[in-house]
Amino acid sequence: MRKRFAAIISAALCLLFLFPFTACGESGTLIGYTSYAYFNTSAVWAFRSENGKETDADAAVWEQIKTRLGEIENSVSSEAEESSIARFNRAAAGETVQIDGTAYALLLQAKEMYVKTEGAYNPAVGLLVDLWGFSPRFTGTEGAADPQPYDTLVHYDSNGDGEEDAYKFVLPQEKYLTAFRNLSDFSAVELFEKDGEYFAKKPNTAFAVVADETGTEHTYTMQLNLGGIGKGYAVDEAERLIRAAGYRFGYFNLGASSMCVLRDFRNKDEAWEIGLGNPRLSERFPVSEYGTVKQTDISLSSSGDYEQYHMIEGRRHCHIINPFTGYPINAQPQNAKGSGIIVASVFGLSAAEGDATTTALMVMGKEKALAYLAEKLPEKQFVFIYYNGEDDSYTVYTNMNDSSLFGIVSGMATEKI
Amino acid sequence: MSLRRIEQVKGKKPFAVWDLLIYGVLAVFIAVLFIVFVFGGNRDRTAGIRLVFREQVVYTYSFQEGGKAAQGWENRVALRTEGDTVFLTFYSDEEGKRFNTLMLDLKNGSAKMTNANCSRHKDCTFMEEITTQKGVIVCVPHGLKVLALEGSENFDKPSLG
Repeated sequence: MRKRFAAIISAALCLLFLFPFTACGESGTLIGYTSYAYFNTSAVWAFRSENGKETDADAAVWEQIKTRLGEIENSVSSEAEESSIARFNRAAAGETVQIDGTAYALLLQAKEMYVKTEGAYNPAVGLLVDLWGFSPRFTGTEGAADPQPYDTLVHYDSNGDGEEDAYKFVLPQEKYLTAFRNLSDFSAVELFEKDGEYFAKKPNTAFAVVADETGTEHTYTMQLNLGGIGKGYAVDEAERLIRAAGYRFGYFNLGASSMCVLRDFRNKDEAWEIGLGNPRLSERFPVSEYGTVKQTDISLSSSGDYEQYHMIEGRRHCHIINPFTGYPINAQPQNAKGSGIIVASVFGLSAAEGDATTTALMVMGKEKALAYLAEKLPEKQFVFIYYNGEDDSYTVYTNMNDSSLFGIVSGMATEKI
Repeated sequence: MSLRRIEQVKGKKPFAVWDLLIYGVLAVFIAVLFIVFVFGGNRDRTAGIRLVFREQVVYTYSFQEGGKAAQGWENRVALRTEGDTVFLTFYSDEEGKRFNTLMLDLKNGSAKMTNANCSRHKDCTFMEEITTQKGVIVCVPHGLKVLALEGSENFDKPSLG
């Protein structure tokens, strides 16, 4: 009896000691590279190393990735003066602009997503993005670079001492909202290829608006902003290079809004646990992640209203513009309580398509988003948070099961679809 | 052996040597676990910080030994000491227009970003202070990363959104 008891206790102790090692998968160390040189954000490539050190082959792949990221950024960035998109934006109404192959491929994909989402994803909102203060002109801490008559960033006296000592954003004038909204018909952009060269034709539409202060008339034409889908495309390209070089483990993450995961060698199921950034980090939800997903060999995309936004008259105005209203999502005057989707993630599309899709879901709002997901993407996993301003509640909507989405922050309800 | 007999044996000798041995092993095991979890964390504390700018370590600061700039970066760092606190300002451009200021608490071994002119929101100043070898603070607009002196960047759990 005593021997049996002793044996049971000994076995239990052995199991306890061995427990930490039972979840191990393949050997190796997780290491990685990080760069901040592209798309004004971080690019992280993590991978398995045999001995914890980068090899020359790893370094060579990282160089390839960085080169490709630079090419894509130089092609689609509106900041780079000679990028295809910057030249398109400077062109007159009706002008045809020669663009490079990367911009052409991205614009074709953007067209496809514009049609598929019935205009909810629309890269032709460049002027509205600028109007609301989310273009690169506003990245500094002072006034806007290259000031425009419609700028909503104003210098003001914050402490009543008669000196303008601070900056704040104000609501834009209706005449600019109307004009810029009417310049966002992306279907009017023509794309074509001729003798191996690529072209984009700007729509003929132009609007003249008289500036209040000077009385001068300014003419505006369509401006493109491929920021979101461009990052997704960059992730797709990085994944292609990583897989072509034979890597099976790791991930590539560009600014946390687009990423691809391969496999995690440290776990038996080889699935990555990925944290979902908490869009309302506060005393009410005091954790950096509102949940965790488990995924393998897949691309992930996310859009949210919490990283780039301005508070205007006490309301959150984020960088995602609703092309139908011209307002930032959830900030239209008729939506006084700010109800709407505040963060959305989809899994299993290409990163570029995912980026466009999550942006579109946020524009659509809860009901249309759920209908779109059910009709157009029935096989894809998704998760989004809906904020109901009427009762100040947050609900997580998802079609994922408990083993692939877990750890939802306390205080948020969950609605399984 | 009848139940009555067992009760009699127990009454005379409640703990046999084997019983005591097993209870002893369990007690030691629990004590080891307690020590590892309660005191083991301290070994993870960092001894200082590294500033990584454009993928290059440009400055290190040991809470015990002070700071050291990489060659060519000597003029990019300014230090101001107030008791056990050091304010370290790193300029990410040669003109000195773009800056990040870290507050180093030498007594408690921590580093916190307290000021920067990187963006309107200054996200880096809201990031958690560095106290452990896995700590990291990032200022994306200035391309600056602050890491624990001896630790490597933590790639364990990627984050989305």
